[in-house]
Amino acid sequence: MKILKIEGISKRYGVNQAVKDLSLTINRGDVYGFLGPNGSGKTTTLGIILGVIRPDSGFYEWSEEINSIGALLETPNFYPYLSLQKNLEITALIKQVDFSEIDSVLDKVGLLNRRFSKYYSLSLGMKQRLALANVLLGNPQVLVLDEPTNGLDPQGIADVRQIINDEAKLGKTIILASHLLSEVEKTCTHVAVLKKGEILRNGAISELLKVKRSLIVSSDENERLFELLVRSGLFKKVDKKEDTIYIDLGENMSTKEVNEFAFKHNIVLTRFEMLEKSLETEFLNMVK
Amino acid sequence: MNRLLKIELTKLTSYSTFWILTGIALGFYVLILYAGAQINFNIEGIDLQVYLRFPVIWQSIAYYSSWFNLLLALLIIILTTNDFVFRTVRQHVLDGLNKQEIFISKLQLILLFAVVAFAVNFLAGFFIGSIFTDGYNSFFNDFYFVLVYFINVLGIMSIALLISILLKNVGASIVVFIGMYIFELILRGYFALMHLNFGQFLPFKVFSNLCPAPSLKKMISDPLIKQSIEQSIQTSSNWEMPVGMNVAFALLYTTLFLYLGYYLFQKRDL
Repeated sequence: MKILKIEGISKRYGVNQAVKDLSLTINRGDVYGFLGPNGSGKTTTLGIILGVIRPDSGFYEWSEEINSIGALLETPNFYPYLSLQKNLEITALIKQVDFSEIDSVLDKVGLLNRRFSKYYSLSLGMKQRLALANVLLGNPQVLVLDEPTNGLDPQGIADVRQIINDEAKLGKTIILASHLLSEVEKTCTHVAVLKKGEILRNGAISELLKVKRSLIVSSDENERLFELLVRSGLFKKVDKKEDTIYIDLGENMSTKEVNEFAFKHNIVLTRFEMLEKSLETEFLNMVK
Repeated sequence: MNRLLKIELTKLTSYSTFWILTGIALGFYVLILYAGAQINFNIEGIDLQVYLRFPVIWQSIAYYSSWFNLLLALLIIILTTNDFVFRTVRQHVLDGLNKQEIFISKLQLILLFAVVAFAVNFLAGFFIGSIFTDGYNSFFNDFYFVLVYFINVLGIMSIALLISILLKNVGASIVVFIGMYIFELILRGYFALMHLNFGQFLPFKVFSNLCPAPSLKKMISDPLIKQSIEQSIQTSSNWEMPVGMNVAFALLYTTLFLYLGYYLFQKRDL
């Protein structure tokens, strides 16, 4: 079921095109990652769908069933002179939830013992945790998190991931922006890769995560081998550059079958090398 | 209590700058009032304490209280720009308030300040008037000065709100607010030199005209001196806006500034 539909949104800041004709759909229960380098338009896109930035064109539409969204955009924003408790009381008033819920969210992010500390006295990591507590207050159906692990130490990052995973298990829809591939890889079910405000690729992360397995082979009879491989139609893609043949194995073929194929045609392979392309390589190639 | 006002009060009650500024202002308010009440020259034909008795006290206290408008404007500027500087205005939208509700919350804060200022003004006037007057026969004469003081405060704070939304920065907003006042003074001086009445229609003048200083002639009890002062005032005075027209202009300016603030706030990204 559709939770959010974005249709052709664009936003320009002076000469800088922050988001360009961006369209996508997010379904209930998705953990949707917006992945891209700094300045790729992730935060602007989230700002638009959260109503704090006006798009120049296009529109977005949240499902009518959604009545609560918890959001963290860029840096945590609180009153420095107020305690954590008072800051969350303001959020509780806005979200119209009982103050008694404050304890549980502070406990969840490990800040219950600092509830009466002033916000300005917190470390960067603690501020980020408070922002997460703010998001979780009122048990929203959708979480929108922009770089939620910013400023956190390794333990903090693991804790935040755990919280996100726990919330996802409850069936909540989570939209997460990050420039860290590992973060998206470990937490998301879907991903949209952004570059200069445009979506380069999007879809289920399981699809994108599939390792593209390529094989590099050579032999003394390279021309004949290349022709046989192409004519066989067994392999997804076969390319030849100078003395090297590149074989895209696809999903059904294995390296063993290539070896057997050459042997069957009395060709001795002088080079036989596996080339694995990870999502990271793919991501770097995309945003280069 | 209203939810939006509760949000504003939660920010306010733990804000030490607010308490320090209010404390200092209240201290000065009471101190100057007390000192003023002690002054009494024993000169024949002049009665200084007339300003402390009903009904003149209402005009005196409204005029005196309007000196403290700068403090109220300062508070509105600080409290509004804080939300931009700390980016909490953006967080409020992320948490579920819409821009209209945020603007209304600021409007409610302005109204609250105006009501409190009105109450302080009324109580001070009532207290001093009761001490210096025998009986309450003329209690309600000139009472409208207390009512228009409310409009005066509201108007000044609406300018402060507009500037804060426009500039989003506390220092710049205070400089521009004071700068606007000084610029208007210069402009009024220029218009007066040119024998033009436009100066009476400028916003700060319209607001300050609501709470004018009580006339000096009120302290003169000798009818002959009084008559000669009246004559000299009549020959030398410029045109002054009638009270009803002044109130209408003040309300018009207040509405305009609030609308502009609202429009700007709605139009801009957070």
